[in-house]
Amino acid sequence: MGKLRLDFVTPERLLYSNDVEQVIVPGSEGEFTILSDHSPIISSLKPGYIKIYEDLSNEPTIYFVTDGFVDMASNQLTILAQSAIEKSQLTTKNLEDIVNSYQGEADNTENEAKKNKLNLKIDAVKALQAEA
Amino acid sequence: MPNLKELKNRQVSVKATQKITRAMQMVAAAKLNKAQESAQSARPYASKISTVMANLLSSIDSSSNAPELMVGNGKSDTYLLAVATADRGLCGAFNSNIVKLVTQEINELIKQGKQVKIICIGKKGYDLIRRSHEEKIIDFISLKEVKSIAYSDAEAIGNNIVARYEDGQFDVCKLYYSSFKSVISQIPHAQQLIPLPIDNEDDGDEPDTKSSIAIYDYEPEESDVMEDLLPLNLNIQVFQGLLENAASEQGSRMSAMDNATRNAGEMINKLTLQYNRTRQAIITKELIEIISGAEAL
Repeated sequence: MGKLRLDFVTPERLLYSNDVEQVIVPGSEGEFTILSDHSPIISSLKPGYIKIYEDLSNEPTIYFVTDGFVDMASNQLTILAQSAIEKSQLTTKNLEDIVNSYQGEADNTENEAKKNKLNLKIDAVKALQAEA
Repeated sequence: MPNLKELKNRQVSVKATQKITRAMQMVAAAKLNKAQESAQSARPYASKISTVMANLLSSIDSSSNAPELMVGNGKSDTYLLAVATADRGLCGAFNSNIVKLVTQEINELIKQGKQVKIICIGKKGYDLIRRSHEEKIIDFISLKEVKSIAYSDAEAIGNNIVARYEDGQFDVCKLYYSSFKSVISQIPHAQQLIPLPIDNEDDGDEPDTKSSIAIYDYEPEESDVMEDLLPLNLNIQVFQGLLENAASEQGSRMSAMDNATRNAGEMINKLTLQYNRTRQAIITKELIEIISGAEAL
C-alpha cells in the first residue's frame, strides 16, 4: 500500500516527519483514519491520541494531543498541535491538570459557545481518564 | 603628576569591568545559540499554519461573513501597538531602535487623527515609552521571569489582544519587534496582526493551491475551523515575533559587550603605559635627588 507524508508539528518544534502508512486522529467530530490518497480535509482535533503507523505490521507510535488541526492535501498530512506528549510519558496527573485548566477557563468565561467547547474538551479528556 | 596608587586603582577597576563584559558576552553568545535554535524549531509550525491559512483565505474571500479577526471591522480609528522589547538593558541600541520606530509611528498616527493604545511587552520599552506617551499605555507584560519563551507565553499575550479586540477596544493591531538578520544586524520591524494582512507575494503558487481548495472538506464547519484557526494564527505570529526578538536581543547584547570588552582592553593598555611612564619618572626624579645630594657634599 502507498504511503503518505506526515509532518507533525508543535509551536516549539517539529515532532515527527516521515512517510507513514496510516494515521488515526481524534477529529472533533469523531476519530478517523487517514490512509494515503485521502481526500483533502481540514479538521480540528479534540483531546485524544494520535496513532501513527509507519508500518501496519508494527506497533503504532502514539501521542496525546489536547487540540489542534489536521490538514490533508495531495498526500501530505500536516498535524498542527499546541502541545503533544508521547503516550508512554503521559501520566494521570497530566490529564488531571488539563481537566483543571479547562475547568478554570470554562468557569471564567461568559461566552456560552466557548464554554460549550471547553466542556466538550473536558468530556473528551475524562473519557480518556476512564480508559486509563 | 597623577600618583601611582590612583593609576593602579583605575587599572584594577577597568580590568574588573572588562571581566564582567567578557562574561556577559559569553553568556549572550550561549543564549543566542539557544534562542536561534528555538526560533528555528518554531519555523515549521509557522510555515505550515500559514499554508493552511492561505488555503482557507482564498476559499473564503467571496463570502461576506468572514470573521472580523481576518477582515477587520471596517474601521481604522484606534490602533493598538504591541511593542516587544527586552527586559534587560546593556544590549546596545536594541531597545531604543524599536522604540524609535514605534515613536515615529505614534506621531504619524496622531497626525492622521487616529487613537493610539500601546501594550508593552518587556520592561525596557515600557520605561522608554512611558516618558512621552504614558497615558497611551494600557498594559505592560514582563517576561523577566521567563528563561526561554514558551508557546504558552505567546498564547497569553495573543489571547489578551483578541479579548481586547472582541471588547471593541481597538480596530487595528500591529506588533513591533526586532527581526534577527545576523549577530550584528537586527532590524526593528512592524507586523500587522489584525486585520490579517493578505499578501499577494506568492502569486506563483496561486493556481496550484486554488485547485486543491475546491475540494477541501471541513470538519466541523468551515466557519468553526476558521474561528479556531484565526486566534491560533495570531498567537503563532506573536510567538514567532517574541522568539525573533529574543534572538535579536542576545545578538545585540553580544556585539555590544564585544565592543565594551575591546574598549576596556584599549583603556587598560593606555593606563598601563601611563603607569609605567609615571613610575619611571618617579625613579628618575629620586635618582636625580640622590645624585645631586651626593654632589653637594
